[in-house]
Amino acid sequence: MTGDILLTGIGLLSPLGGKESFFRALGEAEAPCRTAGNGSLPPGGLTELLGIKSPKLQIARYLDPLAKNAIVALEEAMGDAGIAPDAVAQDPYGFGILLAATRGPGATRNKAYEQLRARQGKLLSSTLFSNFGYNIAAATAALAHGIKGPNLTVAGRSNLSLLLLRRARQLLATGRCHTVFTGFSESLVNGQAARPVSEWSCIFCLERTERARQRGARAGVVLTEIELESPGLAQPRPCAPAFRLPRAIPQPLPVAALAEAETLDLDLGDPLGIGPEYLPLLQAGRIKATERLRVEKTGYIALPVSSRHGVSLLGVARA
Amino acid sequence: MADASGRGLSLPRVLVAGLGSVSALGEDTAQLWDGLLAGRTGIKPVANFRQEHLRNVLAGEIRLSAAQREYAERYRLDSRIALFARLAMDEALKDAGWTRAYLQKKKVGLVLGTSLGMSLVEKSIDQLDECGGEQVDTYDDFAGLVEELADAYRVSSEALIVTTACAAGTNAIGIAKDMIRHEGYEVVLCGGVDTLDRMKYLGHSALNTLTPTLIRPFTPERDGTLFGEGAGILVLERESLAQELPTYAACAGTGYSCDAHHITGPDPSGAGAVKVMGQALEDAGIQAEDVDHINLHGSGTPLNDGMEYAAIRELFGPAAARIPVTSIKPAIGHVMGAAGALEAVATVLSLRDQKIPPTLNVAAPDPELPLNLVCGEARVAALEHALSNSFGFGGCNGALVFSRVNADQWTDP
Repeated sequence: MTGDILLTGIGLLSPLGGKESFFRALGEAEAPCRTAGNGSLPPGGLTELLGIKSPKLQIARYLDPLAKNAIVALEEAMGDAGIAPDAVAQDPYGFGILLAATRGPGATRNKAYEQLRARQGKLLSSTLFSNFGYNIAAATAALAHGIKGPNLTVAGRSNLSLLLLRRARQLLATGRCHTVFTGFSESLVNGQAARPVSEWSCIFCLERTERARQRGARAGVVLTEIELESPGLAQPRPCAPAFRLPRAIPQPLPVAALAEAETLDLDLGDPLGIGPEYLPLLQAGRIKATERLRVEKTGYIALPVSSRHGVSLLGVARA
Repeated sequence: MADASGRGLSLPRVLVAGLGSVSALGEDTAQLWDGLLAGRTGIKPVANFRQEHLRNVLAGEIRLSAAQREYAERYRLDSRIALFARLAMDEALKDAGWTRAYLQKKKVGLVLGTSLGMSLVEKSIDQLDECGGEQVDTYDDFAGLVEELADAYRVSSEALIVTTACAAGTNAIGIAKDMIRHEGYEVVLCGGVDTLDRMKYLGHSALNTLTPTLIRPFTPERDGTLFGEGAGILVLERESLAQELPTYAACAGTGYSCDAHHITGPDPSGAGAVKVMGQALEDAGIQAEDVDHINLHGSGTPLNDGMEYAAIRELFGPAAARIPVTSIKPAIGHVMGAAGALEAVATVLSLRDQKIPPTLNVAAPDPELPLNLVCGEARVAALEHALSNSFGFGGCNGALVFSRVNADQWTDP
């Protein structure tokens, strides 16, 4: 595939707030999962916690929390990229959505299970069942914003963050659409209500370079080749030792364009209980800029991207 | 390099090298295809979960054979979704002539479609009824499933689950096709897998999407669908890898779109479906008049069939009444995330054999939806290019174009 892709906007909802407060917290070496009081955050409480009241949230009588988060994050990403709602309305098939969902709408499922139990297993709410699908966040976000291009929801292994970017790149490079909103809207809910619940939504606006230039978008970050080859991926990996700041991540992320990475010494743990045989992927850190970005002196920042274990960090951004 | 799947662009052609399936019509692709052509049905009363409080107890359920149970025990598979996927993948790889060891030397991907995670919780649903206030682990993490399958087939590169409701199987094949054509992959195992459980049937009972009778697509009496389970797997490979074994067809085009209209209902105008079919044709480098056959989504719900007709009429014009079309859902049920994959298997075999299986339960098509519906018995037809449609909850749409290749390499079936 050829053709550069630009990252022109970011929308993010985290227990620490929006992207500015999240990145500020990262810079201050604050661990979101520890400090945001996730244990007290009820499932679906993120938009309420952050006091978000978007008219887009009024599109349906019931919305799964992850759908709410996706709608808001996508709205923020659009605004950040300088894409007006009427631009989507004029060209609805030019915009696509590609989200990751490894666990899907767990809060809705749990609610339905409770209801089913209360009804002695006889009747299931059609409203809740309609919101069961793993694609509910992407579909509802499309509905809220009138986006009619590709609408895909995917799940994968611990390299899901990279797969997302690669699939987004495929959609753009093959001309399926000129703009893709990609990222995740996930909850760590796992059917055990007593465990802490954390919700995150992070959506990037990726555009074909010529499209971004054509509409006069501000300078974005160039997304170059994403290399996924990792021959040992299918094999369990040894647990990595604890990190110390600054220290290179022992196993460099398989992104050819990124030179090196370092952590903030914030191991966010293993909230899903996957076990110690895997790398502690849920960690805060930052990745140094690519060669290209260095030349342009754009510096580096970190972006959170979902992975099998919740949130991992990838990326470069902010010109 | 210049053909329906890559004409004029120096893009590699993507071939269907192997097929595998598990369905209510049988344990493999031969049984599925024989059953479809003979007009047999796999629909029967459900036996794997309780029938009480369901709008309809009929389904395209799979009753595990002794051999399938032995396979599950041998590989310690504890979920039907993993069992169906692996059975179909084994068959498809064998059909393509690939061994797992040889695949390790290639750049191989895995892209599977499925719908709901409750597929993984067969036992838990019953526990929910019985365990009162106890919490039950719902096993709804797709990462575990993709990990299991990728490890089983030693896929060290991209392994992906696509979960776009009932368009998932079709979308998965489309992504796989593009991975080969545009990203240097040599082989991609792709398709869809899904299972039935009581939760899904209760949900669709509540939504009234279940027919109280049988699936009767594109008839005046159509009043809903019935669901099924199983898996359909295609081995797609880059043309340059083609071995001595014959290939079935070219996977020539795909499209994606979203209705952005309603969470469960289709856009009655069919605009999203028109878009997705048009994209698939353009991707394949063919025109609407080149299409010889359409394997319909054909779910039998009043809204879906009406929308699909409107879209076909819009895209194909008067030719819509000429192109032979069929739906295999009355025979195996609506297999949700695997529906598009099993329909792709049928479409590919139609191209190979130049035969279109009949749509069951149709005495007379709806005069309000005048399509050339194949019913009664299988029809022989000259087929070069065929289209397969899938439309899912959330307004997710997918379409695939398959084209005939190497017509002389197959003996008369």
